[in-house]
Amino acid sequence: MEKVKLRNNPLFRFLAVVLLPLLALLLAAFTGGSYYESVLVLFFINIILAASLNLTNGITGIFSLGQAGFMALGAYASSILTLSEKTKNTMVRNMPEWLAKIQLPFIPALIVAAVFSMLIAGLIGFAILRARGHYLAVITLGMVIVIKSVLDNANNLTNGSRGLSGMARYSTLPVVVIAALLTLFILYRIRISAFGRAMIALREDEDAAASLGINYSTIRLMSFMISAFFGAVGGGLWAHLQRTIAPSLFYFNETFIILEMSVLGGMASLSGAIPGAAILTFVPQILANFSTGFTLFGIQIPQINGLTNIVMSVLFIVTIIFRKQGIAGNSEYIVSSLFDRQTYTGLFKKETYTGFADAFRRKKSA
Amino acid sequence: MAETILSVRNLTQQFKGVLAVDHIRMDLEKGSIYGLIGTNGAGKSTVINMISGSIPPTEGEILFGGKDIGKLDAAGRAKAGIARTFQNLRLFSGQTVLDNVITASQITRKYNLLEMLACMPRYRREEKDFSERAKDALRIMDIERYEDFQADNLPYGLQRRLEIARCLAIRPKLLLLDEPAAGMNPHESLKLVDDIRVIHRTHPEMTILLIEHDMKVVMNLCGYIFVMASGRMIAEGTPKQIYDSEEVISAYLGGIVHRKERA
Repeated sequence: MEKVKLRNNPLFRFLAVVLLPLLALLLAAFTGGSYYESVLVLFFINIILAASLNLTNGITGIFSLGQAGFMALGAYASSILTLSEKTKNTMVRNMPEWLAKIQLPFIPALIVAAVFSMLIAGLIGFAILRARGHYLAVITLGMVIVIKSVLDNANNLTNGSRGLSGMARYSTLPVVVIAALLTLFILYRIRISAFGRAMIALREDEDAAASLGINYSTIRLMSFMISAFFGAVGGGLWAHLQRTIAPSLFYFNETFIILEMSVLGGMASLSGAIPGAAILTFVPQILANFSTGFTLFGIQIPQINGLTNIVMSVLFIVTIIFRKQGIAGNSEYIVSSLFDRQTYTGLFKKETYTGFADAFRRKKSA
Repeated sequence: MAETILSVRNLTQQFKGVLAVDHIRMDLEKGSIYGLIGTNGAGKSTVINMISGSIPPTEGEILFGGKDIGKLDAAGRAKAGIARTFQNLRLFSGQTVLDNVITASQITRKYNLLEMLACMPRYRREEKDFSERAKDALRIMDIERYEDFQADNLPYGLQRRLEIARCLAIRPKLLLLDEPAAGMNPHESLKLVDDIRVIHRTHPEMTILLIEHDMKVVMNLCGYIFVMASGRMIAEGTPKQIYDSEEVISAYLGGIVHRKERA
């Protein structure tokens, strides 16, 4: 019998892709509303943020450091739309009356915010996407600064640096799980379509792509806008998890956290967003317990300030040195096992799997 | 007489004082194989770069199928029906062979983002068509059994053929081959000559312009040959005429060589 890789074993796929997440969800359901649920919600939001960044940085080859900016746009726009008129008027001085009057349910607000961010990305992208490489990276970082100072100073819209608060906690676990799956599904569909192939072609060789009729600016702008859309979805969900937002939360720190998730997981792979988000969500939470000082084999370790940052930076450097392509490399194994129909000669029999559906309905194929 | 597919008038390229291509003129008829030869630095690749839109000409006009394509960029010219290979391979090296070619055959894409997300019939129909046409192109170049290989894992000769297959997938009217036999061993370049013959036979409408150093390849394939030297077109004609032309011999060998000595 041919030797089969562990990852192609149907049982392993079933466990890794379906059972473990389900278990996690069950666990969360029992601990609903608690600390653990918030961490899981954050994990799924981070998946959305990292996957949206992978579309530009890894797949299209636009190295953007600006995801925190679009996240901020999504967070602010959706918060302004879901807050009630009364809250807005007491919190924000001189908010335009028409805007204060609007109050939308969460999902429509999120979509409007995402579309808004996408349109802004269209305007910005039109201007900046003719730059490439390092120049573009620095420009997008500048974009984060610009967006932050706009939010800081548009007092009658955003309440300035004091930020907005009082949003309801709409980002429950079911909502973010569905949002994350939808995001991955849509991005994956784009990835395997003509658009995705064009993006990859541009990343690999611009001249060759042009000689095959692939339009440089259109495809890059499209990628940038789609990425901004999902970045804003992530931001909107995040705002309704934290319930308090301020411009300083969407700055360099957030930009580099998203970037690190994307790089650790594997920029060129949407699937990489999942392990990347997992590390950047759970490891800091675990380390937080230790940073106040602990006892190890009778030795008292004192309080270490910034332990999380130190560990995460070391992890980042180690990844860059030893596994530049990130955990997932450029394989779409995780995502395609969710959404694709594939045939594997597993440990048991040759079987066709279609992601979730097959966990319950195993069809034998000839 | 067949209709003219490409005509080039006064095409000039000036790189910072160097006249790389100097007012050349070329007429290609539909469905023939043309050769463009010349010594190193004669400006052959620059001509192809200007025709395919990679670099804008300093002067001159390019008519393709009777229309001036001077305003189109490289992508627009590919859509108009000009395909090219590159002197140094330009494959999408991390992708599979099949994906490389599908990236080319999707040039006919009509579906938009929303149709794709909703998985509308047009999306499915076109995607199927892309992969069928890609497989056709691989079959013509006889590399369909490598379709799942990663492109940069193929041996060099096959990578060259993959690049040609990628061009065929866009179903061009004019195929520009920039030194397709460069770096190939004699066996591979013989196979390449056969392949180009097959392409010519299976695509009688397609015009091929071939840049090549290997005189055996050129003399075997081309019905008509252009010769360039230091940016100028010094001769053109049938292989026989070129073979006998004293200007060509002097450009290549640096002086007049008598026929007896060449033989």
